[in-house]
Amino acid sequence: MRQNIPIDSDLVIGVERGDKFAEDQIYRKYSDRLYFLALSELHSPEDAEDVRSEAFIRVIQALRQGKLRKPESLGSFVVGIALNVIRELRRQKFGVESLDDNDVDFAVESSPEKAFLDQEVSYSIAETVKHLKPREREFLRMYYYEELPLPAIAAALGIKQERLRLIKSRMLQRFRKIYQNRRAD
Amino acid sequence: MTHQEIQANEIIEQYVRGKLTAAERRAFQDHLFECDACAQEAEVTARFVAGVREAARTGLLTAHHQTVGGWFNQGWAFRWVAPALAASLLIAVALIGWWALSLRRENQLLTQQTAEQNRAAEQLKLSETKIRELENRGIASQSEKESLQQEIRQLKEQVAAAEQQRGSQLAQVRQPDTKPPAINIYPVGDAQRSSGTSEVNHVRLPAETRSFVLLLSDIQPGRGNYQLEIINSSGRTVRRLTGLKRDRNGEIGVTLNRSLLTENKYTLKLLGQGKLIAEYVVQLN
Repeated sequence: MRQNIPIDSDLVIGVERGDKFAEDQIYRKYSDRLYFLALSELHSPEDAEDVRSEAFIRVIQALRQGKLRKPESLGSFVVGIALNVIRELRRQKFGVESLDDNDVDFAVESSPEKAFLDQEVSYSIAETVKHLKPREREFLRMYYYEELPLPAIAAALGIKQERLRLIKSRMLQRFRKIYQNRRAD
Repeated sequence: MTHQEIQANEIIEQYVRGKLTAAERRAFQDHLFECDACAQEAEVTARFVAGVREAARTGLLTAHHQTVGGWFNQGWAFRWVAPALAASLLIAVALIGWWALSLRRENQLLTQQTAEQNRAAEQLKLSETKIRELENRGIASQSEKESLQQEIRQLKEQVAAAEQQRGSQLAQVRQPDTKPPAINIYPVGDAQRSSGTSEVNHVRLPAETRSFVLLLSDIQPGRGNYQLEIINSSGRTVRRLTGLKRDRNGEIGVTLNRSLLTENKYTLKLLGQGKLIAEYVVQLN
């Protein structure tokens, strides 16, 4: 489907001319990314949904008014607006000004893990780790959960770092396959 | 930030794990809205990391955690363990069967020997009875008496020696020989021998060896079952093994009990369908 979407500059021109199809295409192209961006920043599906809607409205309004000078930079333009919406939402909810302060836990009531967790993810992870050796399980736990650096894990488990990277990559690949199949069912 | 840099530096994972600086994070977000592949990858990675963290929290990633199905499901390292165990079990069963068959043959031989001893003992009794009759009648000459007494002494010695031998053989047979040595032997006139080599196969066995395996090599196929005759230096056949089969390597393995081969030199004749296939000369050292 995405291959049929016109290039960004054509979409921008289309919106400027009041083309509803172009607006729809922009939404289709950036909707998932807006949601992902907002979820990554806010860790709340409800807030992410609000950001998606609000950011899309602002993007279309700005394009209709011809505010984007470089139509080929539509992606960066959408990101900029989305981050502004996120910043405003944070300010409203938590009184935090800076979006760049990563040390602040903005959404203490909703962890980043839970934002991306659902039944398909839990199932796919269980299937992915089912066949792992104890040391490989230990590695995943140390790396992603305890957030230990790779050299320390390599030393603790007696596995080379290159091998650990390979395990990590293989696990992600396996997870992706299971997860996508699960979602397709 | 280019796609190549993102791939090479695992930027997606670092983004998901919150390891990028503010500037790097923003640069990646710009790329995210331009690159379909990275957008998809970022979402899957975020879900993967979230899932792994949740699994760690719930104990699914502890080293001792076992899923339903037990340790046989634990990765590639175990996939060969089950077949290996099965194969080992099969080999163990085959070895036990082989040993049991060997034991049965030894028992048959011992039974034969026992029968021979019984016959000798009967002969002894007969001789004693005969000498008593002669004494009673008073007709036995001194020379006859001495001759008969000499015969009795010899028979007694034979019985005593045979009983002692049988006792030790029984004790040995009751003990399983788990690792008998295997020795390749070659037939008379075999092309593999160098011209200077003797036709005799010298089989050196350790003193504690109870049984050993002779491997008869280069057996031509197409004879079905084979028969092996073991002939002692007097030309008497002391063992006859039938129903032997050639294995895939063209060899026939024969297990023999050292204690039942009392002489040092034997001739082995391998027969197939009644015809002589090969002849081996074996010297036990």
